[in-house]
Amino acid sequence: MQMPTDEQLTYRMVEGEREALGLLFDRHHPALYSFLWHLVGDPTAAEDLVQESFARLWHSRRRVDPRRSLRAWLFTLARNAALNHLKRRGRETPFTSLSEGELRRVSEVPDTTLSGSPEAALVSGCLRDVVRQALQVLPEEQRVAVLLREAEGCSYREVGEVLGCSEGNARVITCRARQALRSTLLPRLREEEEPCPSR
Amino acid sequence: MSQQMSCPFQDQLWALWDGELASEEARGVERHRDGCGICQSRWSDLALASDALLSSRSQTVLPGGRAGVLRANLMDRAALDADERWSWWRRLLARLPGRWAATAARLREDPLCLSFDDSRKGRLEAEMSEVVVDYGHTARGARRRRWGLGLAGAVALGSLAGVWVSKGFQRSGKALQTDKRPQTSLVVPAPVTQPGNGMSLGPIQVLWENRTPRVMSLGPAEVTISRIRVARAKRSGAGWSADHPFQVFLDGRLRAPRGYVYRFAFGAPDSPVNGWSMSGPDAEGLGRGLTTGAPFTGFLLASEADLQGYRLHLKVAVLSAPRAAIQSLSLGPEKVGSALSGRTRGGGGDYPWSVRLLDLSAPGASPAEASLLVEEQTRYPEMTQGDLQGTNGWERREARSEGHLVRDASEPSTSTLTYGFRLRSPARPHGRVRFNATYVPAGAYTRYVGVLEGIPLTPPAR
Repeated sequence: MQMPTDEQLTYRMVEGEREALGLLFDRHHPALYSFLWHLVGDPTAAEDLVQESFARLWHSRRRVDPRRSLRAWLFTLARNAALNHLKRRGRETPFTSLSEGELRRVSEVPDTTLSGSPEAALVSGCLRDVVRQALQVLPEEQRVAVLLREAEGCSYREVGEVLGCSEGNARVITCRARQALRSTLLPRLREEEEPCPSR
Repeated sequence: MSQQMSCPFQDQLWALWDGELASEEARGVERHRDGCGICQSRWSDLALASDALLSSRSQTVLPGGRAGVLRANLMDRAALDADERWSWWRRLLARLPGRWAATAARLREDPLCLSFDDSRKGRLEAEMSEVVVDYGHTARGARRRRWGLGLAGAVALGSLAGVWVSKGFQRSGKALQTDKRPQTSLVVPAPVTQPGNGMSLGPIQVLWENRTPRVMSLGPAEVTISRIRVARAKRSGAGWSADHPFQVFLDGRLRAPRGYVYRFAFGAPDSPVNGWSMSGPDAEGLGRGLTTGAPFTGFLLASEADLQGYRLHLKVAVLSAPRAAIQSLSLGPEKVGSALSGRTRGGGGDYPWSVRLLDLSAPGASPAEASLLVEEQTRYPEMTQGDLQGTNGWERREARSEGHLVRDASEPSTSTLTYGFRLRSPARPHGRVRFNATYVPAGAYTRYVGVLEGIPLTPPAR
């Protein structure tokens, strides 16, 4: 049986069909989760934000144009949700020790996303951290652009839609991000070729 | 060095990477690339970075089962939204973070549901307190923010006018001395990026640090500060000011007897204990307790004077309070956002306490539809509960007598105060959401203060 396209599902969702939303969730949540994880760096928050993004998609379904890229719309919602989250987080933790909940999250977050041997988990966990740390140094726009373009395979047009700029601007921002990554990510990657220290 | 070199084919190389060249042109660029060292290096860098991003992406997946839970929650929320009769509920849900919204959605269907999914209960309880704090800022907070914005706008306009006047004076030969700030005495080195110190704080750019552990005995507590790091404060960060351009991060651990709630405060030696690490009116109400034995990371903003001579002068305070139980509730004619007040007994003394009341009524709902539920949960089998229903401005009615809220504080550390609300209307079934927070009575803290003078700071080892 042929899988319905995003466009078909979007039409159905705009009509109020919840199952279409579920199918879109199944299709796009891995990309959104990874994108959000790299933006906020907190798996629990990323989970919440994935759900939040899809909830916003549902709430704003009447404004969705099914002929345009749903993926760009979703990433826009996710980016806005992440920015709000980061702002809120910035407001919540000034001048204060970490709360018990935060401490617990930091110390007890299990790396359940990994499988295989502990060594494999350690190494891949290191790689994720290295990539995230390198991305953190970049301005937010560049971070979003390079994640969308390189990790998610979005077109420059989609990147531009997410960033709210023209396709040409998106191209420039992505190019700058790649150049910045050369100096932030590659030295770390080369360091990481050494065995990762246990934590 | 390779970054300094350039090749005229760079743009074509990007285009080739993006797959945007026609096949003939692509072959030409490929031929050039294979013979050009700069382009080869660029190409391999691109490939390496791209591989890393793709690998990182593929390793970042939702744990098994969580996707299903998220999907089910999403469907619940969507179902709520589809039913316009529940628009008030939807508005309420919109104010709750995602995970609680789904719980709330379930509670609507099962209004008497009093327990959450056990596997997540611990986390829920820990995190609900944050929601409580969030909702403490209600309409009053919004109004205050609006006033604040207005005031900030007026100040900005005033400053502009001041600058204009001062320029005018300068031009007319009557120059005003406008900058009386001391000259910078610290040489701020180029930033060294270090890994973040936990998910909440993100990466920081460490300028100076001290890794010599220091142990301080402060009352019943022993505080170990294992690492001090100084970074540039982020301009976008809360509390940033030009006078305090540095952030000092303190990593450490607290060891202290159990049965008490502990909080930290850090600051300059001449600053008062209150007000730095616990900003906000809820500083002594719904506290952020610190677990005994658990590591902490605290931070404060510092001025150049605080770091004179690359030495940090630091005051550390530990505030401890017994976890107390409610002795009685005394509720006046409450308004939304006002405080409950009463007296508590626990840990050997009577203390007044106050808790900010939450405005959790749906926007647009009349007060008659909202009521406050206060209950206390203990480890004991029986549960005490007071049900305070609001009608027309939070008039009080206690379903059970005050006596139910009195309990012996012989095991004070097990108490958890639960705040919640109930929305009701003749046409709608009841919904109930519970918020848990360990509370500390105001004024119950005992303060223990110590000062660390002249901690030397050095640039971090690369």
